[in-house]
Amino acid sequence: MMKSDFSGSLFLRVKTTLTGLAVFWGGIALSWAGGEFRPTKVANAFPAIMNPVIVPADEAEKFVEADELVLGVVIGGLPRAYPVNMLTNPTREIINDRLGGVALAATW
Amino acid sequence: MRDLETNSLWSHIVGKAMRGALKGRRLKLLPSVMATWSEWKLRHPETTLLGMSRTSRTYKGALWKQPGRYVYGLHFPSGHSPAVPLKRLQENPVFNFELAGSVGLITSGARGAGASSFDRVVKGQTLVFSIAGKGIMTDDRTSSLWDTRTGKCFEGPMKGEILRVIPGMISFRSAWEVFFPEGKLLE
Repeated sequence: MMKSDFSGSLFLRVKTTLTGLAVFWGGIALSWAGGEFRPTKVANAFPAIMNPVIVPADEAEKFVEADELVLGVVIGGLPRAYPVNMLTNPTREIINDRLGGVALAATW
Repeated sequence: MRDLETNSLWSHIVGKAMRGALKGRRLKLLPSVMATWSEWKLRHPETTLLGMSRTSRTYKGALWKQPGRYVYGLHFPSGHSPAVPLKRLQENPVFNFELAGSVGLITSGARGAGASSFDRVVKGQTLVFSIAGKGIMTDDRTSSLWDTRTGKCFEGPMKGEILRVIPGMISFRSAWEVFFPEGKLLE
């Protein structure tokens, strides 16, 4: 993964289970701008994270502090937060989850 | 990232399959916000959260002390991906903009952290918003009062209306420029 790709996103999954893998980029700006996808090395995939542990807000003290950043989403009236400090390791950058009947991937 | 079903390779920032059987397919981006935990919990007291161990302690509200490194990037359904420097949002916590026929609004906390983005067309009218108090904004047509974080009108002729969320994200400026080379930077 590019170490500088600091961006959190939430994607709808359709019949796919997503897993992280280490992609090492060479001259990414040039290869991307040219419209070609040219990773110089693709490592083996990490185990996919599925059915992650989800806790209610009143148990949050163990997991997150007031000023830590979270990626937040509301689906079907159900809010959920993904603390960024749990997503930063390459083995963690993709969380396959379900919320309000929707399959989603929280990515970093 | 890779999907287990077809082994296609995906960009996890663009959400697009770059190689493999699903090449060219895009995942639908869900509207989300980035906020501090306290801000998020204040807005959504009934929230649940991911309960895994930490892998870092880097990402805190204080990150926004370096606004020059970051942008807030948007994803319009039309395919436009403009971005606004975080410094501009710190100067303008209610930021109206127009680009290629798309009108939008980005609201953010005092330090530019916890930004949200909305469509500012309501009932066929294009509204221009300005700040009207802590966490409150008003529109130029009806002077209704709106919550800057939820986009919901709570007082005035527009009461009950909710601005449509446009998917957006805080990103490293350098990463955004690489992944969206045609995305316009709104200075």
